[in-house]
Amino acid sequence: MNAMISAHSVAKVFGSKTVLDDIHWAVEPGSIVGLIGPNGAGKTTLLRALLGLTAYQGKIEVLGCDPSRQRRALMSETAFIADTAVLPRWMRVEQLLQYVAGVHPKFNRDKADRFLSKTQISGQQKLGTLSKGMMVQVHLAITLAIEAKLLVLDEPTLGLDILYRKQFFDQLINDYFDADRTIIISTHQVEEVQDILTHFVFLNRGRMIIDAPVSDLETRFLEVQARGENSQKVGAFRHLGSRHILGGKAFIFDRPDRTQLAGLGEFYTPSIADLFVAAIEGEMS
Amino acid sequence: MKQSYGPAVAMIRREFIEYKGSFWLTPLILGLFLTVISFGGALFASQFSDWEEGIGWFVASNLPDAKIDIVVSNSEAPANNSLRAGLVTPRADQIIALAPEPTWDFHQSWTFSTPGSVDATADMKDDGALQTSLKGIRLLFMLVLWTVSVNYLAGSFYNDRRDRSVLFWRSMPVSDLTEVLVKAVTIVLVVPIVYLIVVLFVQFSVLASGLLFSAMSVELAVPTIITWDALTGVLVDTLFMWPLIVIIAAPLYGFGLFTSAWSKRSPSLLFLGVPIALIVAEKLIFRTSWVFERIAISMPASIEWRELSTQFLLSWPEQLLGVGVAGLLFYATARVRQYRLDLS
Repeated sequence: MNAMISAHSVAKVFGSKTVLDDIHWAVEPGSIVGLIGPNGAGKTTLLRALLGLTAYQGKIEVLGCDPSRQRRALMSETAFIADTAVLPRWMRVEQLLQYVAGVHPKFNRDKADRFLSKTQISGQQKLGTLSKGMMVQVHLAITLAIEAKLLVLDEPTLGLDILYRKQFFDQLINDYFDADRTIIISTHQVEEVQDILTHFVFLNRGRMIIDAPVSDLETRFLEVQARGENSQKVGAFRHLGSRHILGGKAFIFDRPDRTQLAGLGEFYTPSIADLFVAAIEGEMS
Repeated sequence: MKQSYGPAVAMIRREFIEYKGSFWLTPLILGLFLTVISFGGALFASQFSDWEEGIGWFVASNLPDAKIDIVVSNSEAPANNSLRAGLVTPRADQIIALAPEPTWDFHQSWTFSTPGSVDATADMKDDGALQTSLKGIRLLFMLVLWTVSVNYLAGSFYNDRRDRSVLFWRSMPVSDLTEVLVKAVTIVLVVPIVYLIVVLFVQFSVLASGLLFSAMSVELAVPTIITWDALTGVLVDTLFMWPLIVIIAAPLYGFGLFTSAWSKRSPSLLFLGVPIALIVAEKLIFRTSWVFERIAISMPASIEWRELSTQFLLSWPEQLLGVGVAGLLFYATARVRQYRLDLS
């Protein structure tokens, strides 16, 4: 299967700061990938490099296009939501839809209208007068109406309340996603995306520290909750990270020897959020 | 209404939405204002010049200190037999005594006018006055267009980085070069066409108001308002002057868009500051003023049409080079635009 995205030895340096460090990455069609990392991890830079919006070293191919040279061809197959505040506030909703209909060959105006008809937004409203949540609804309506193979979302729900956030992801899964399409979501709020992902990537200080399918949570990773003196025994094994629990500690392991840990605590499948915290803490220690 | 446009039309339309104040409203409001003023002025002036209708008596009744210049001429030999009553202070309740005359002569025609203008319509008989008005209208709109152009060139790419909408525009399948060229075409061609239409409309309105004035006033023959040659001269100037200025100023257009895409703050300062710095540096180092002359000639009203077109034809290789430089600057703008998304 041809990869939707392939990146080899991608690096980016701003002055003396390394923002992306030797990134190797492949994304298959039909995936929903969570690009997860703390603030300043390099998520936005990586996404911008994938879309030809920033210069980089190394080689990137997205949908068979070189983003730095074939951005126009790439963007006719790709939809991108940077964040909630990038729509032109001086335009009316109707004018924006007309603009997109004019420049995007794969924009389905009727579909966009259908999405917007389910909301309180009218075409004559100026974007600058809409709330953040409504602005996202407009952006999402445009994005979902584009017959794109790849959807890139960079912190799309930043600053939204929980209702809009839930609605956003529900709509994304119900109205956009199918087996031929790929979604990449960058976020540092792991909890809100962990249930919809097929893959997750942890990025920290410009380095990709984990790139795995969600199915690996059960097979590759293990959380052991040890209490009493077993805490010290389990802690002696090489682990990604740990956290305190009532009467003991929970340790997260990457590809552990389960037989060695047997009997020292209770085994659980870690959540992506717990794995993320453990991985980042492990990096820092 | 669901309309689908081609990319170029959609993008130009977008520019007109963003800059509707500068591109649409300003010329329209100014044009309407001037049209109303010219017609209103013509109506008012024609009424005011019609002293026989009684305005003289109105003045006499209401303005005690007003002075009226009264000329009485004999219709049988007006040129040789005119009598000037001189400045008198009229009073409504007083019959004005003119030159000694035993009997009333109905062949005499009376003309009343304010001091300093013996004949109220005399100015209009000289087509230079109307020609100057038409040129003045063109100049006014060119000055506005020049200001709008500077503002647009320096601001267009900068503003969408400032409000972060650049990330939305760049999520569309439009190449950077297309975006630059659309902005260039908008300000070089489309906006001047809008201004040109309004200028021509206002010029014709002023002309029509002149005709109206002449039709409502005494003694003025319509053809004497403006000669055909003078009229076509003004219209040709209006049609061709701006395109020539655009070609001469082409490098400035390129530089304006470049500063807009490149500058992290105050693109206008950079856009205006660099040419000024070049002028000063050239003067200090080479003791010449080539840059100044090159820029000055592209300013509205700096030079008459005939001189401008002559200079343009004489220096066409230089103008061609300027267009080439503009092309390079447009390309450089597209390259800068590719990765310059933020102001920080």
